Amino acid sequence: MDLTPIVGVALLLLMAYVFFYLPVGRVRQLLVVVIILIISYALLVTVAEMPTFGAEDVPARNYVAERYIEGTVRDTGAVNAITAVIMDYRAFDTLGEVTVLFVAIAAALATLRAH
Amino acid sequence: MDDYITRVVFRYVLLFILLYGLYIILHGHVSPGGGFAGGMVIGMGLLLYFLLFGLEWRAKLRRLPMDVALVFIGLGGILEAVKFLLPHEHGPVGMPGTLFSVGIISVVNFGIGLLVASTILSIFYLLVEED
Repeated sequence: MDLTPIVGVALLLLMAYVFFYLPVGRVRQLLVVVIILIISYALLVTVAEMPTFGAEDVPARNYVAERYIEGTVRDTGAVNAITAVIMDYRAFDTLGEVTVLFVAIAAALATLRAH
Repeated sequence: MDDYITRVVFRYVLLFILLYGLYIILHGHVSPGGGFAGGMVIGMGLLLYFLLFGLEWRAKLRRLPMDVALVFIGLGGILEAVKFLLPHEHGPVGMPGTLFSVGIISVVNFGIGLLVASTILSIFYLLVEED
């Protein structure tokens, strides 16, 4: 049985208890160090498990990338494959991206103009 | 900024800055670049213009770029209905590698360039108004 979700939930509960309920003192400092060590170990194990960059059998190398490389000129007529992906294959994603930019600027203008 | 040499020189340089920005935007599908980079160049050129020659054009130019971009996007959405921004609904229209070889990619690039340029100008106006 995979114990990963149980360990994750236990760690979250421990973090909530330590950060919100435990009074400041030596015990709290010790538990914070323990939590940081656990998270660091998990992150290091994750990095060690990652596939080699640019290897032949990575999960990112599949039919999608091959379709983009082979069909860019035929489908879109653009020589620049990056522009073809951003503006044609994933144009709707770009619309959301531009909307995020617009909303961020509008929020900044509204916040700064209020003062 | 009241510097005679800067004003005289920049009066001629501005055209080339704007032309270069338009070049980057229109050649986004042939060479590196695109709407974001070209819009940044155009916005910086206009920002330098306002820094040198004052803000008397501000009232007229203030809302123009963003309005034009919104009208472009709205008209595109209305004209295209459901097919708006779907992949290769407006496929290649010419020889690949030439300037007018793609369909909607150039339109999207142009809209993004307008939005980025107007964003830079908006921030500049806001910071100037603080004084």
